[in-house]
Amino acid sequence: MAKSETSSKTNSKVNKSQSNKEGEPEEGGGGVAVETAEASKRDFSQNEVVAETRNLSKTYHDFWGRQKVQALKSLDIEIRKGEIFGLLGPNGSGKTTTIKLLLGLLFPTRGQALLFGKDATEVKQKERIGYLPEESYLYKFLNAEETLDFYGRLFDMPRDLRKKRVEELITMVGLNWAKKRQLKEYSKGMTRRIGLAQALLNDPELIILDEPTTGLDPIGTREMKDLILRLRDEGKTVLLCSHLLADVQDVCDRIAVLYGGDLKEMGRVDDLLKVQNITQFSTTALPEEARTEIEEVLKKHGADLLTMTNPTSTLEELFLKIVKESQERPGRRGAVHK
Amino acid sequence: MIVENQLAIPFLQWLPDALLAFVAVISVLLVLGSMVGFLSVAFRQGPTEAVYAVANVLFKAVPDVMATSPRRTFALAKIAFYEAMRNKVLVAVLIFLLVMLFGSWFLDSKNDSPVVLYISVVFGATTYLIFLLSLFLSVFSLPNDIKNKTIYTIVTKPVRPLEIILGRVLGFGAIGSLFLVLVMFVSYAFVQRGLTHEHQINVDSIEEITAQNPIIQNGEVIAQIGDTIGYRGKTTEDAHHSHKFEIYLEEGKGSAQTDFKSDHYHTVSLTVPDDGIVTADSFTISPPQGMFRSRVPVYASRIDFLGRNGERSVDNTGKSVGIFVGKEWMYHSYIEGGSEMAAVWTFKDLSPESFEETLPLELNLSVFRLSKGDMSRGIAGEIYFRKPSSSLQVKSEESVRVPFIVKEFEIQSLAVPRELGGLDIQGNPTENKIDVLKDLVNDKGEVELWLQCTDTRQYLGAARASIYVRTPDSSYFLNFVKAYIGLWIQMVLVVAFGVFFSTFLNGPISMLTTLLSIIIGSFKEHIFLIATSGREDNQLSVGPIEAALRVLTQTDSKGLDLIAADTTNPLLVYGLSALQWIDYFVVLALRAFSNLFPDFSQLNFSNSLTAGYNINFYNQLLPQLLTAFGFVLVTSLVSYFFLKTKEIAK
Repeated sequence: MAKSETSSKTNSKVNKSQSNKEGEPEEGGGGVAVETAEASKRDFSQNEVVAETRNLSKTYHDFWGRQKVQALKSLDIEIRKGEIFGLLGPNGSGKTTTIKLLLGLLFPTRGQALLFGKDATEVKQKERIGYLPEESYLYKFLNAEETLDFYGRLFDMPRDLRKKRVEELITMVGLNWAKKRQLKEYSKGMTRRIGLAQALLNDPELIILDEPTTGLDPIGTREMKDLILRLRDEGKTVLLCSHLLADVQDVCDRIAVLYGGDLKEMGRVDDLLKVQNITQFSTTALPEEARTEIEEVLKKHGADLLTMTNPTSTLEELFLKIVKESQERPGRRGAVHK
Repeated sequence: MIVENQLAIPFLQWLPDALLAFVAVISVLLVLGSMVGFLSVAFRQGPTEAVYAVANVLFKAVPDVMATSPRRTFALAKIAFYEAMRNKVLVAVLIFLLVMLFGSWFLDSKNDSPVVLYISVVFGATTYLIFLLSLFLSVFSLPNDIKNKTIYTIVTKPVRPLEIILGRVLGFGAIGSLFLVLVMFVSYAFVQRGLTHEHQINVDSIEEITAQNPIIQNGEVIAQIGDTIGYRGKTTEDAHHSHKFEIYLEEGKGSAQTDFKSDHYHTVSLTVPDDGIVTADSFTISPPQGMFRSRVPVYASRIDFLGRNGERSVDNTGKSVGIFVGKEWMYHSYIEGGSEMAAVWTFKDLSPESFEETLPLELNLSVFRLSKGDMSRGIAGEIYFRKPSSSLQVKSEESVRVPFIVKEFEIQSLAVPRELGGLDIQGNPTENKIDVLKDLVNDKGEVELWLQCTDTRQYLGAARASIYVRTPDSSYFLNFVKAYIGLWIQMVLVVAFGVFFSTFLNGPISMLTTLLSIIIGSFKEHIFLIATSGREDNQLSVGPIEAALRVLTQTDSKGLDLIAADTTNPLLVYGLSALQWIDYFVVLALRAFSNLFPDFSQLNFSNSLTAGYNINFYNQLLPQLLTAFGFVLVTSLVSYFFLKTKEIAK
């Protein structure tokens, strides 16, 4: 993917925060701490609600109207403007159902799925969203330019604007060299890119990404994550669902974990990953004798206290813990951390 | 050849009834759709939710439909078109080309009516191909898009269901149109190329025609007995036929038409050389003529029959009819020879400026003989014109009678002079001749043409289209194009029905139901006839229970009524009444059912083409075009509701 200035900037920021997590002090370590603190301060709770589900339930019935599967049970989530919201869950947990309900591809059995305060099935709302499906559901007999031109027409874009957006987006996703090739000749990574381009064609306010990094190589994955962060920086709201937990951990501000159609956890990623019962100190190098009396030394010997936080686990650990608990105690509703 | 559907109802007469039927269909569908929607939601979520859901869909539908964007619709149409092109649908054109290239090898070249044969082959092949093409394209597209999930990226854009439907109808309609245009030119070339041929003069057959008596012109003898006054002969045998001709000379030159064979004739011209020796080179023969005609008939607005007693004869539905001679095909109604019986055609608005000295009539009468007589001699009839009076029995001014011999099984031309001897209201000859198109026309612009059979014990069969005034022919190619427009309408209807069914059924089932619709549409007239017993006033016929009862009791009167009249048992009375109601609703449903499908048989104009009649644009094509438009509109709107209330994802 072609890197723009913003992308590089975001990239460096993410890399730094990663280094920090790995506990490798570097020059100007104080600066890292400040940036992480800034990121953790990012607060969307006062922003307007972009997507919302209210008591959203979906039950599948068979031909005779008998209940077959309850895919989603009374889901209440709010996604606010400017945040990156992740939906997590094992297969069959209801996350794809949630996305389909929000896109109007399915109708709720009970409750509501709202986009920008209105019913998700309303056509008008779709002018403000972009959707990258899990797999590339595009017309294979079109080339990249034709594909984007076609979707541009679906947004009723005038010819000049369409042409401009098509050029911009093909350049952005780095497919200029293959823009005349039919999509059936594209690799999976290229198809994801053109899929992303069609999702961004209308400069959407809410972008729904279903498994955005699937099929991408490490560089492509990195670039996709950079792009997601860049979109957030541009004020867009991103809703993504992914199985790749490291990706979610890297980019999401808030996550919701679903299991068996129930909401198990929802909150800020940093809050959810915080280990509450352990306090972790990190200091500069101390004299040998001071180490033995560390608790007093901290107070009496005047060492600089750099950070004093709870250590964090990984999202993978949290996810597995929730799944294990859910299996042990089915039916338990999860905690919601606003 | 008789083309029964020539007599279409005039467009302006058809339009109000058609609009009324259209509004009725829309209203019934709205009510039915709302009921089905209500029941399906009420079943799962209760009646309150159901009312809300139905109202929500209905009220939102109006602005939703109004907001249909041409740009989006055309984008979707373009995709449908591309999809079909990339699926190599034009292979169908290649198949057609192959059929046309080698088809003539397998055609019966000795056929007496090669035009009928060629046109039937061409239209038959085109009809099957276009039906298959439009069927396969339309029924699988949407289910495939849903199956491949490509529809996800469409419906998550601001695309309305109606745009998805119309896009497909337009896209596949465009493919079908392209196919038909290509095939039409190929077909036209095939027919023209296949039927054109050249003859030479068969030298051995040339004979001199000599004068049997002296021929005198302007008081001068121009030929003595035995002088050569012309030549007769035959052409060579080409394309499995030859023609005979007779040419009479005038100042050493002459030309004549050959006999009419294999749907055509040739014009043979002869110039006698200076040395007086006529050879094959002295003749020139034109290419086939009269093969591709497009007659423009002006039909009578009405036909009435006078009975034996000289009064207007009607059947029990009020329709004027002659004698029923027992033929199963009831197209013709018969008049008896040597009686007062007559068939009366009322022509309206025949402009005197359009016809100079003669009124060119064409007759297509049927003959029914009670006695064999001289089979080689036709049945004698006579026609005359009459000024319409208050009724057929009231005397009026009329022309003298023009006798003629009826030619069976062919279209007979009769050029009647406009000026004929006249008879006044008392039946006395008028002093001067009368102009049929001026003196016998009433205030309404009408003139009556009376036909009577003068051979006793013989009958003449007539229908409204049996006698018409022939105006100058129109272009045959244009008529060919019009017949293809009939095919085009059929293609559009198949696409509309295919797309409609595919909005709620999967591909193979959609294909079967569309196919079934085509079959029902082709027999629509029969279904309608069953429901109405063929009555002119379209009254409902008796139902299946009554029919079964009549079969069992071998009666032709109302069986249920008879039984009801004979009983006082209240249970039986109510039971019979219930059966009658069931009968009534079955027949009503059958009639309504027949209206749900387009009449495909009305869209086949190849009969007019082969019979050499112009297809009237206003009265034949335009109503069919509007009907098709109505069907596309209704199927698209119903499809809209199906797609709007359908969960795209599973």
